[in-house]
Amino acid sequence: MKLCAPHNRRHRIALAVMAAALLAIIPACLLAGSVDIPFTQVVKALAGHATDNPRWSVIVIEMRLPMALTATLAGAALALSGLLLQTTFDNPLAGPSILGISTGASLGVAVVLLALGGSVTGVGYYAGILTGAAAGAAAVMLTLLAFSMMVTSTAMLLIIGIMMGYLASSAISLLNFFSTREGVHSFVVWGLGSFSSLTLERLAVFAALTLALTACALLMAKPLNALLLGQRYAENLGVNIPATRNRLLLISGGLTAVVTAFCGPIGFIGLIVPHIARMALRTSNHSVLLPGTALCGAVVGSGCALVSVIFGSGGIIPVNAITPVIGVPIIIYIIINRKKLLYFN
Amino acid sequence: MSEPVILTTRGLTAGYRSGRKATPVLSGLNLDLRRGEMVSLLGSNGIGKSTLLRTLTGVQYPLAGTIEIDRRPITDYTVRQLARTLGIVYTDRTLAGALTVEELVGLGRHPYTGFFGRLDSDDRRIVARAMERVGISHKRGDHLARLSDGERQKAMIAKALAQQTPIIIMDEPTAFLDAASRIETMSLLRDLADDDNKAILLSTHDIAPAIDLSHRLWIVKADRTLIAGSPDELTARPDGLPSLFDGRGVAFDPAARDFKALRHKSR
Repeated sequence: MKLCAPHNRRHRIALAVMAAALLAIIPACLLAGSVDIPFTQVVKALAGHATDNPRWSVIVIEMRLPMALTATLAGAALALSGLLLQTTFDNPLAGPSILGISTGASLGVAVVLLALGGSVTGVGYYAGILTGAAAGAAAVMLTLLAFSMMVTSTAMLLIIGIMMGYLASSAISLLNFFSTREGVHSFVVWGLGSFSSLTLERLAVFAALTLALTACALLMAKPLNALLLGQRYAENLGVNIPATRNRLLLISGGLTAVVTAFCGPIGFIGLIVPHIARMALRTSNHSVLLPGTALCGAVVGSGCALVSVIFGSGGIIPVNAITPVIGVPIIIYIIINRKKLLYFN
Repeated sequence: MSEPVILTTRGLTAGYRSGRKATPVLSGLNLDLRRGEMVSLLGSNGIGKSTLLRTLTGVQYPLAGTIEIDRRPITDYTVRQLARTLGIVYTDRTLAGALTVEELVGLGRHPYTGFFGRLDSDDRRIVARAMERVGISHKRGDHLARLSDGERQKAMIAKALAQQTPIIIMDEPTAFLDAASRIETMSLLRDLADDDNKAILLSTHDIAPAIDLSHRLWIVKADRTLIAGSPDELTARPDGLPSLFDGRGVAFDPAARDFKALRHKSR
């Protein structure tokens, strides 16, 4: 869609700022950490040359780089998942964690890990948690879909989503209570929520999955724009509502399930990033908003990773301890200012 | 009227079905809508106007009877074909406040554009003409959230025009508008029927402008019967407009072309 010149310029500036931020944060992620590694040595390690201290190369390539990239991809994936949910459910406060989809995915993982009792490792482990996460996310989404046919109020649907999340949490606690010590241990380790647990090989799988789903999400701009007008208008514009909604929920659930499987349940990013992107770009036009949200999510994800290292004093702060600190003030700001925000009116 | 009938219903029953229980709202409707005519649907709240409009637009299944557009049953149309035949304007609140007028009107090209929804030069010309037609071109770059209710309604009508459908159906397009905007909007709709040969069907509570500007009226009375006729005919018939709100303490005043409170009629 052709845009008027002033909007076009604003979009270009906002996207450029986000890209610049990302290009600043990723190198910072490679530099920051408990071990001081000089900048030139980091570059050397990245280029594949030997570093003065051989440990530095291992730290940069096998720890810091996977973490930075995982955080970038996970942030983009969760943000897109949130945007898709917000437009599909016609509700700006929807998000993968608030609708219980992340918790559903966690429950799926819990079932797999606790049932297997921590006995599986390697490929089987990741296949298991991926399947579990996808099944759990799908179960929650199907339930939400069923309720959305009975409950017309989007606020009520949100509350049902929150309740589903509680139910899934309770099921997780019960599973923990009745399972073996090894199972509980592997689940607790997984459930802390972290960008730092992926090896380079696993990162490749994670990247392939998230990038494929991200591409699918970016292709949905046309029906998403029609859905902005609400279901009735969208249908009158020729959108096949059930098929489109299923497709959107599949992509959104897939993104959340993949991130949850690899990084654990991560809250708030999916909820707040679409809002940051809309405010920065001053548009709801998904041809701009989808790439903008993905980019902004990448910035927030990698930013959280950087913060978790810088303030970790030698360790790494769990991501879920950081996201609410950023997320809650933004949500409260949005709720208080919703009359002034373009996209609420 | 010489213009061809574009939308017909025969023995139509509009209503709700939940499980096996059917609740008819309006029954036995034999209606005709012609190109180049503006028809206003009048009736009290909850009488079934919206139900009828939803049924005519194919959103809701009829409980009985048929609806044909261009002599083809509406059920034979695909979603995309229907989107090119019948444009809709509601008063729903939307989350589209951060779209510009031009982007919104561009959405009207949705049934014609390809996978990415990109507008080609023809589409952009149609969008520009639609904005011109309703007089909203000067706000083309403004966000919808910054428009007045009347302007937003114009933008929605421009969206329906960009859809290039022979029929436009509107559910209370003048609700929430001030008196000037109401009359302006209704005059615009009349022009679209007269000059652009559109078939326009709208529900409204604005009796006087509906009488002044419509070619025909469909009125749904308290007993849920529907009478169709010209404004002159229905204002003159005692069982027409004057009986629209029977038993509700109001009386039709032909001079004002509107309803007045019975108690103060003498003033």
